[in-house]
Amino acid sequence: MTAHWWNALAVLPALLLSPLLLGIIGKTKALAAGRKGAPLLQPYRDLLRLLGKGAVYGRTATWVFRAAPAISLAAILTASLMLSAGPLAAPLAFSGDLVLFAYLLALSRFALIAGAMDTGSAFEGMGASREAAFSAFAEPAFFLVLGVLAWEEKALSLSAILGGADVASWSAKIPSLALAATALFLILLAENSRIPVDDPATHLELTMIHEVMVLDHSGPDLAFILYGSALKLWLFSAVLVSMFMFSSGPAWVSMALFLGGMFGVAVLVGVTESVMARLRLGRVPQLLGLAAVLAGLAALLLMAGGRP
Amino acid sequence: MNPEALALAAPASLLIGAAVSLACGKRSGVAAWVAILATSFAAVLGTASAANVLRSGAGWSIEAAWSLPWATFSVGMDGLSAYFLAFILALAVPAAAYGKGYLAHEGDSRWAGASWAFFQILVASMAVVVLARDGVLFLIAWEGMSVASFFLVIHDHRRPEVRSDALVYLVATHLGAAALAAMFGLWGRGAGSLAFAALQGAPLSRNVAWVLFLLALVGFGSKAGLAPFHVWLPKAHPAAPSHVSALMSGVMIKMGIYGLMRFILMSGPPPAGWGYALLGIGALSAVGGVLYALAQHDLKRLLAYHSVENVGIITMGLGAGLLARTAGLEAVAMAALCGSLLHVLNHGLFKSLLFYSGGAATQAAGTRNMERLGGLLRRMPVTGAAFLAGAAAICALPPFNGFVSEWLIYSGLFNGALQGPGAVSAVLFVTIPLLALVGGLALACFAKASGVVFLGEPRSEEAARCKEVSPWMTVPMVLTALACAGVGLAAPWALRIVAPAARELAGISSNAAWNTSLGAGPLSAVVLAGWMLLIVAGIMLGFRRLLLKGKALSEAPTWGCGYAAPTARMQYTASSFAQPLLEPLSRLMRPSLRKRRPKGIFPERASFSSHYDDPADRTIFDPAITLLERLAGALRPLQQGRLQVYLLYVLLTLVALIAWEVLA
Amino acid sequence: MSSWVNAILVAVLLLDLLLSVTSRLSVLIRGFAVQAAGIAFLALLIEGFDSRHAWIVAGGTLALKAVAIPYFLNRAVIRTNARRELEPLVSYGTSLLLAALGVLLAFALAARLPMEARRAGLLIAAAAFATMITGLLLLVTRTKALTEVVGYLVLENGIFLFGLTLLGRMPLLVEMGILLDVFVGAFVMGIVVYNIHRTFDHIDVSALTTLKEDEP
Repeated sequence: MTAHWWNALAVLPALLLSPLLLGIIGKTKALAAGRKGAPLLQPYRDLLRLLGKGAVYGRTATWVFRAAPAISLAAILTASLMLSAGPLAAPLAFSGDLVLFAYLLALSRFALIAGAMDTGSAFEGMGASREAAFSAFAEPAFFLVLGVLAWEEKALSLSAILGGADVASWSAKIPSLALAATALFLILLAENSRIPVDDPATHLELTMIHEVMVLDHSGPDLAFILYGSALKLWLFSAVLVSMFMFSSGPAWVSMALFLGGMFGVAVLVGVTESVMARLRLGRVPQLLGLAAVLAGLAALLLMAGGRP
Repeated sequence: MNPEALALAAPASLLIGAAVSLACGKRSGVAAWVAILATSFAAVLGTASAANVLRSGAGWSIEAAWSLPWATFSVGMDGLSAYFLAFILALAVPAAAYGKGYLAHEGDSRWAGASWAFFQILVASMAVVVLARDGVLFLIAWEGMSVASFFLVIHDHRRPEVRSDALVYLVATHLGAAALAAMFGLWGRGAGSLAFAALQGAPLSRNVAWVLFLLALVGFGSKAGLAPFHVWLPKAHPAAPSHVSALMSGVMIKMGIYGLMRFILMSGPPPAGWGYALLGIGALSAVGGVLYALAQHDLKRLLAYHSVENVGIITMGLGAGLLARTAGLEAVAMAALCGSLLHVLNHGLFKSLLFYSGGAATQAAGTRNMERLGGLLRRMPVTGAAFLAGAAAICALPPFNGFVSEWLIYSGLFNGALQGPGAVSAVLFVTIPLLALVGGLALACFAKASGVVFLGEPRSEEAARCKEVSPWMTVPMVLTALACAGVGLAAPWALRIVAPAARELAGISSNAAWNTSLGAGPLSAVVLAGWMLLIVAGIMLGFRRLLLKGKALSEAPTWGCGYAAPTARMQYTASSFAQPLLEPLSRLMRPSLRKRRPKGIFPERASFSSHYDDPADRTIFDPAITLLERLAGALRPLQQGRLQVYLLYVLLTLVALIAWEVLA
Repeated sequence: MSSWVNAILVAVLLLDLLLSVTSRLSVLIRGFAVQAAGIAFLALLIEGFDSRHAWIVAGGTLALKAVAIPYFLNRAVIRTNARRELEPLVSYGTSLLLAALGVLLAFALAARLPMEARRAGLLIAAAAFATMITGLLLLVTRTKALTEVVGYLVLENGIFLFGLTLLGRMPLLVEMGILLDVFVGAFVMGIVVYNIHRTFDHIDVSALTTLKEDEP
């Protein structure tokens, strides 16, 4: 738990590279559809352009609407302090930080929902309601996954339960690990508003979830929100990748493996988006229920594995 | 003064205050001042006395003869009593101040003066409940608490629905009291006395202990509002004036929790079965409470159901702590019990805050129906901000206090699941996702409540005309909101208040084992993260201001997706907000929906309404009441309405008693 | 080797979940066939590749349950033109929940078995119970005759799996007998299904109650 100043470096990859994930997803989808697609760095350009703009506010909106994007991003930034990036140890690690991680993400969601409700628009209310509902259904599954990981490493801090894989115990753990990873991937899709739960590229307000919540935001506020969702995607992917990271080996190899894994997840999300259609809204809770069942099965396997 | 005198002076000063308030007659404004002064005075005395015990760690008890049969006047204080005493008295002060503002518009009346007297009696009897060390004294104080709160609930007695809701409360609370009387009777028969010291030493067989536990669970659980004994709660709390709702929901229902904890302390080391039972009933209350809260349209009823949820969370922590204790995991037990105890305080704080601000909003708008509110933040800035803070706190969002106590409970559950033996570990593991589900649902529910009531546009004329309330009401809100943040940002300090009680419940003498592995270190890291969050948020807000400096800022109508004539009634309503969550559970929750669909090309009328009946009402209480009515109907011929017949009953009873005395 | 066994058992458990939630009959049949093939391979893995007994059992299972029966069932699907189970008695979400609870129950039950029966590991007994429970669930909650047949077959998969925990203690003859029973049963039911379809135009067994004689 000793914190050094250079531990702060661990957040740099997340801060710098998270918009790239969106670029990779977009590129993958474009290639799969036979298009050339936007350049990989397009999300960075969008962010910079938005940061330089002024803003338009709804007449209904109060300070809640104005403060929501900044608070939401601040919560995600604080959560990013708890994840290590490959060989770089997390700046903030203590027993039980996984609960804090989950609740900081909840805070960011609460801020955005409050901002959406503040506009008084029926569409944004609709998006807010769906976001709240699906996240509530995703929450137990996420905690089950965290529980499985904690059980495996007999520890309660994200830094300790992630990135500690070793070859010796690999074969015994792989079934439960694979199940937990599948569950986590489903949660990642739902929490980051990806197909088959939500379609970030759609242009019909009625069918959107996350995108419709932020319809009224503009300028730097919108940039904060976009950057926040990129960062959130990075965090979930980092948990997923770190589940399989080995603790041994030289630092540059493990950094390369980590980044490769992150981009691999982005490609995987892009492929999923290319081959799947969106689910009916009523089926989304079932998908999240499936994630919970998979994670529960992983937990059962672990517990059964420890017994004669 | 010595701590014993200080502790007893607190309820005594409240009772004197009650008498003075009553003597004020029609000048109820003076009565309110008396109540505020008496409560503040009692709070100073009581917290000083409690602080003494908490600091020194040495409890005390005194015993005096009493003229009542089977009773001694025994009072005492240990860590648990000290914590609860300070909690009760500290939260009564803002409630009294808020009440003065809340009742101001009613003008002076004799009834309002009496209401202030009952307020002080309620606080005094709660203080006596936690000090009592004798069964009879305990039950008398318990009864005083029930009756005083009944009169407070029935404040608006001119409205028939208030009368019927208050009556439900009176019956429910006495059913609970009956279970408690039975418990003390059964226990005292074996022990030969009703003094707690005697009860504590009495050997209990396994079966008797279980019967006592179940009676305690019914009696204390119905006061605490644990499902399925909670039916009175969503009726009584909305009916009461808001300062009373805050006091009842934030403080009084915790007397049930105190009772359960006291019972466990007195009955010796608890068997594992009790831990499982508490964990199960806690989980049921937590999940059920939050689901039905989501389904409500009445703001205060929604808050009342959240009390069921939070009491459930507290009970889950208690159950997990007891399980860990039976498994010999001292540190884990400490984490869960500290979480449970701290959540008592935290829920008291944020639920008071929510009832203050929600009550101010509903009073200003003249309706509790959320579908007619909206946009109040603009009109009542302090109230709205206070409600948002309370919402964040009750959703356990960092950096507020709710997160700290839930984090401690999570820590107990996770660590218990990792370290415990087979069954304990499996059960605790299953509880984790349930608590997470409750967290997610609570967030959705408060996003709905704060969004629909305070954000957006007003949905009715009344809501549009709302004005900010008086400083009597806003100052208590601001203070409790600051306390919510304060406990969250200074948690290790708050932990010192609950640690003695947690040690008593965990059956350990020092928290050394806990401090090294789970306690102080990680908790201060949580607090550190809370401060970091504040700093990062400050930086982001400053960065935003910097970016927008000198840029073109303009205002425009909210984007209506091309629709030209939006009205405020088109906003998402509370029912529609909750729909995606409740729809998948409709089999479980059985809503009664009334729809009139639009017909034709130019439909004239269409309507939709939804209503969720409480399953405990539907499946347990309604049939029970029907049965009771039928039984009571059989006794109806006894009521002839003629004086002679009643005198005949008296005579027959007398003869029967004499005959029994002679023959026996 | 043990990791292979575990992997197959996890696959069996996942297939149980899949079978309890899918609405497509073709997925149902294919899922059952894959499960049967996995179990046949498991027999070889557990008993060892040098055991003749194991080869016979595995081969028989593979041929009948993974190839022959699915083939007949698929033909029945094509002929009766019933591609989906549209009216299950409980919704698919509830089915998933029930199946998940079934898995939980199976693990709890397996943990309580005497050590004797757990020599091959807790997981295999749990998977066996879970498969049986899934089979029963299918039988109870589905209305199409074809789904019912698959339910029986899944149930039998579970029984076979449980037989494996007893490691060679089950006489070959008994196993072959069970296999034969299942084959004949499935065959007969396939014919019945086909004929019900020809007579009544649908294969909904809940409609069979209308065949009951009315009270005068």
